[in-house]
Amino acid sequence: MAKLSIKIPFSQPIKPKERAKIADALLTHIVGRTMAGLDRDNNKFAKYTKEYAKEKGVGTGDVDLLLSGEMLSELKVLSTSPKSIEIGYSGSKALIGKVEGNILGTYGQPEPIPGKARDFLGILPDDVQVIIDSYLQEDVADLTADEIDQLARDAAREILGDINFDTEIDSEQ
Amino acid sequence: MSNKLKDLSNRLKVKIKLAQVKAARALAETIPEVIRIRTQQEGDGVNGQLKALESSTKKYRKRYKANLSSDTDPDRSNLTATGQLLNSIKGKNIGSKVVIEPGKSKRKGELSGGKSRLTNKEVNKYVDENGREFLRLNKQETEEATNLAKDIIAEELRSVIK
Repeated sequence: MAKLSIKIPFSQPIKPKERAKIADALLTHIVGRTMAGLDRDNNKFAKYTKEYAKEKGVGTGDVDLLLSGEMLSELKVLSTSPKSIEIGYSGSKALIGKVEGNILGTYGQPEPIPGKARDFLGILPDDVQVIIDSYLQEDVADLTADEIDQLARDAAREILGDINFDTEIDSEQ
Repeated sequence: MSNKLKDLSNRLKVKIKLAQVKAARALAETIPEVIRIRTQQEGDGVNGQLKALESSTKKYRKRYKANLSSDTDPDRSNLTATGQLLNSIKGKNIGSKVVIEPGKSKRKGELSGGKSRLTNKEVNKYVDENGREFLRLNKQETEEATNLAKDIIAEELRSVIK
């Protein structure tokens, strides 16, 4: 089975009870940071090409690595230990190839395209520490079933309100 | 909305966004089929029954009956002459945004726009502008799609909010 992963070390051992939640918080941070257009070192991603941005319907600087959404939604916590977590991908070779293409900047080419690497798979040690510290202090309120329902309905309405029924004729046709 | 919900952490926002992407992917698959069935089987556009065919159109379709799709007949207004327009409708998601569009490829065969070889997208624009708007969701379909998306998102959130 194909696998692509990284290990994120903790500076202090984390108890089993807290480990899963901290692992999830780190994973979510990486996904959220990527959607905000920042790489593993918190630098802005290389811009999209004009053609790709046009196809996606965004500006060239609006890089969030979110087209089908598969690359970010399939990023998982693969294992945890008291001193580290392993996150990454396990399974689909095609997906892992796509992820590698982004990280290395190859995008299906044999060699990386200069300046096009978008390495999102990682996190700065300082950021890990901040998340662990804040998480251990944070009192995360549990949401009730009704509150989850309300959030889900609002989020669903947002999607439905934004569907693009593309009936315009493209100018190049 | 309660203060608790207003103070949602970024963590939850990311979870919601990912759940929206999953829901968008499902809607992109479902919506074209909903539109296809409503239009072809019920003969309904977005605003109810599709406008009846002109008598000249009916005559033309009778003449070319052998080329008509088996999903229609010469007198029936269901945006199906060859079936290419409705079958070409595709959905895709771009993140949490859903895009539904008719195919861009040129149509084939008789009853497909003649020598001009129109694309399905061009035919869609024509029927849309001529009172047979179908490539949207009606009120009930919107409600059903919202419920589908809501269920997917709620299920995702329940699985990640521990």
